Amino acid sequence: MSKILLIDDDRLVAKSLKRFLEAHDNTVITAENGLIAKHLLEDITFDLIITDILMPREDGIQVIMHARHNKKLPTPILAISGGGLEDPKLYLESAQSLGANEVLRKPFTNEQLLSAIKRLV
Amino acid sequence: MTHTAPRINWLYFSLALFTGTILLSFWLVSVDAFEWLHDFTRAHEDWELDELILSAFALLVVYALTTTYAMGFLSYKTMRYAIKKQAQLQQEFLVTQNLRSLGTLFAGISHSLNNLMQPIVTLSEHLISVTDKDDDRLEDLEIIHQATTQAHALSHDILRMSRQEEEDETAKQVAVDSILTDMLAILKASVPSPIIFQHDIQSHAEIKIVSRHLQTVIINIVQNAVDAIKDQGCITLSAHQETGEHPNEYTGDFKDWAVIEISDDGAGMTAETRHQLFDPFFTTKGVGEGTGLGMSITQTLVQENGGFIKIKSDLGAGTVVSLYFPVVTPELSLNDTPRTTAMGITP
Repeated sequence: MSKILLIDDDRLVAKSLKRFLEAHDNTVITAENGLIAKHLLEDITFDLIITDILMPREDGIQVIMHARHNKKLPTPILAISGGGLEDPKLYLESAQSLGANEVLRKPFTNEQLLSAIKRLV
Repeated sequence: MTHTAPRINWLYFSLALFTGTILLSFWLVSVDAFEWLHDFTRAHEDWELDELILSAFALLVVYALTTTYAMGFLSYKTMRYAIKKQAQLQQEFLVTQNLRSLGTLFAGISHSLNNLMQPIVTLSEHLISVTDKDDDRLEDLEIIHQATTQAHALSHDILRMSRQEEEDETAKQVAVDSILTDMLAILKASVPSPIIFQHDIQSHAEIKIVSRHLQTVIINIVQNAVDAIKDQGCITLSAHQETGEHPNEYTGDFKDWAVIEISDDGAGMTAETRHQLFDPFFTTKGVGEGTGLGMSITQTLVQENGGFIKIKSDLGAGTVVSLYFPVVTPELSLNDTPRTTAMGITP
């Protein structure tokens, strides 16, 4: 039903979330880093962006900044993170302060994901 | 340490001067020096000034030698003390440094683990939701899902242990018997069959606790009991209530306590093991069998929930681990909130 841009450098996370979301009638396009995501955002309009925070090349924070401040996109953004050297809470809080509408800490349940999407789309 | 060292040296310096003077006076008295000096001047009235100066100088040399000896002895003592202190500080520094680098390592590992667990959670949940209720495979999927949930909890615990991060999990008021009864299935499953697992839960008291914490604590202790028994034996989980007998070790408060006891008839502990039990990385198990973090995590979790642990154990006589949690009544639970936070501070 919704067209979702899913950005995550972890191939298994991207693949599993794509399969799950597609099983719930969504169209999912995946990008493995922020740079690819930026290119996709040039050409396609999405209903929702789900982005990981820590990624090689350009990270999730840069994607959120780009979408919110350069492109002024109204597209809802869901930030997801499993943390890095710091607590995931820290990454997710900064994502939220920069314009992410919802945040989820990995590993999250399908119920958490679906209800977040329901609130956003 | 760098600030206290010069102070100790000055103290010893003045002590040395004092000791030197005392020793000199003793010497003078012991050789009956004044009498001797009197006779000496009488006998040597014809002495020149330089000879007098020479004998005064000789006295001074004796005084200096005595003082130097005393000072040398005392500064040797100071130095030994300083070296010992420094070695101790160095060791403490290494331990903190170790913990810190382990914290960084855990943080990195936990990030990878969280990412790895995401596909398992997503797809096992998805498969559970699309599988027929009659399908035998549903149970398999549920086991996979439960294991992932536990793995997540574990990685979370390790991370918290290394970082002592603030928790947003809230403590809930629960009845001791209901929370323990819920855990019986998992506990029975975790005890291998030659060991008998019994329970005698008599307390209906309510405690305020993060249930997952209590679960981790009890599983840790039961696992230790299993290891202590090794072959055949019995583990008993019991709960009762004690009124005001024990002050909290951390706040000194007397309260009504809900006491959860895990006892085993296994090998027991030596006094030394009992002493080091809660030290991080202390283990009696072989390499690869235990991290030495179990009881350390256990203690942190119990204290975070306002409780404390008592251990009774002797070599060959089994072990009783008693967990004390303050009983809360519905009327008191509001006033209790700030107190719980104060107890949350861990040493």
